[in-house]
Order: sequence, then structure tokens, then C-alpha cells
Amino acid sequence: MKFRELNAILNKIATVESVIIEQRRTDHYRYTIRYGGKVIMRTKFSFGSKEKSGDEKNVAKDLHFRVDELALYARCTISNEKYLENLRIKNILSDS
Amino acid sequence: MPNPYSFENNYHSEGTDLESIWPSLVFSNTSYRKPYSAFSTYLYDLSSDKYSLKEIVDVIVSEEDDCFRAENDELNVWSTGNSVKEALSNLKKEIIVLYEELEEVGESGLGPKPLVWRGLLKDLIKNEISRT
Repeated sequence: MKFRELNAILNKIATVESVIIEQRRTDHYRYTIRYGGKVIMRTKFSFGSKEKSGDEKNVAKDLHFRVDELALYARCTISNEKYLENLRIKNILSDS
Repeated sequence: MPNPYSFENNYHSEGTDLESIWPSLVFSNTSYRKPYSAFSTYLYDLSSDKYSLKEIVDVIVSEEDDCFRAENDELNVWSTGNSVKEALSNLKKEIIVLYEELEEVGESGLGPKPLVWRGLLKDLIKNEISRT
């Protein structure tokens, strides 16, 4: 997975109302995603010697997508509304 | 001719490097080919002066793209490395980072899943510094 691909996904998630994404640079780029002030998800991007296809699988899991949905979401085929609905179904969003 | 990857040839030696027994763990007595699959193992400690484990942690290790990946599903943590040892070492760091992040945020700032992770980590991790 490329860094710009992850950025495109995170930038779109950041457009959801009540979402704040915090980024920290440590050994990796680490992202904490808050919804309504509460931490709901976290993911990271590692700058390895090469891009690893497995990272995509883990990032998808962190963000509660299927792997094939990541690109669809970035390309707007999956809307924010649909994504939020999926997060609600999976009990990722807090009710408060 | 003895099978170099047989379970018996590798398992009983103390301090065996996981990579040396990797093939036997996956394809014991079935193949000489290096497998590209997964096996389960455990973390017994966090290699940290500050934190220790009260219980062992289940880990799945897999190999893809010449890279080893260690993950624990319950805690939603994963790491990679150029060797099994490195991936497991990085996973220990990830568990500590997650624990510290969740402690910093506190219960009231966590959504449903992170709350579950925090509960699991509180049962798993002992802070050696705060108790001395």
C-alpha cells in the first residue's frame, strides 16, 4: 500500500462530521481516529524498505473495511454514509 | 535420509530460534518446501523493564512478500519484520504503545472497541514501575 493511498482514505474519513484524525510520527506514522471526541479506530503506516501488500490487509482491518473496499472508498464508490452505517452495524461508533 | 524440517529434529532444543523450526511447524513431515503460510505462537513477556505480562499473548505469524507479520486479533495489533524474531519484537512494542495510548486517553475518551482493548490490556499487563 502506498502512503498516498492511505492518505486519500484518511482524508475522506476526515470529511465525516464529528471525525477528528490525529497523526503522530514515531517509528511509523500513527493515526488515531476519533468520532464525537472518542477514540474509535487507530492505524499506522510503516515506511519499510518496500511496500508490502499485507499492510493493506491490516490497514483495511484497522479501518473496518474489506481489502477490496479500500480503493472503492477512496474512489467515492462507497460513500461516507455507507461507511458510517457499516461502522454502526459493527458497533464501532459510540452511541453518546 | 532424515527430514531436516521434521518436528523432532527441531522442537526439543532449548532456545530454538522460531525461524529454524518454522517449516516444521507448518508442514511437519509433509514437505521440504519452504511454506508461505501461518502459525500460532505466544508472547511470554514484553521485553520491557516497565511492563510485564500477567498472561501469555496469542500471536499469529505469517509470511508474505518476504516479510514476516505478527498479529493479535483481539487487541487489533500487528507488526512486521524481516524475521520472525523482529516481527515478534515489534509486536511487543505495539502492545506497549497501544496500552500507553489508551491509558493516556482514559476510559471516558474511548469508543466501544478501544474500551474492550483497554480492558484486555489491563488484565494482561503489569506496570512494574508503578508498583515498586
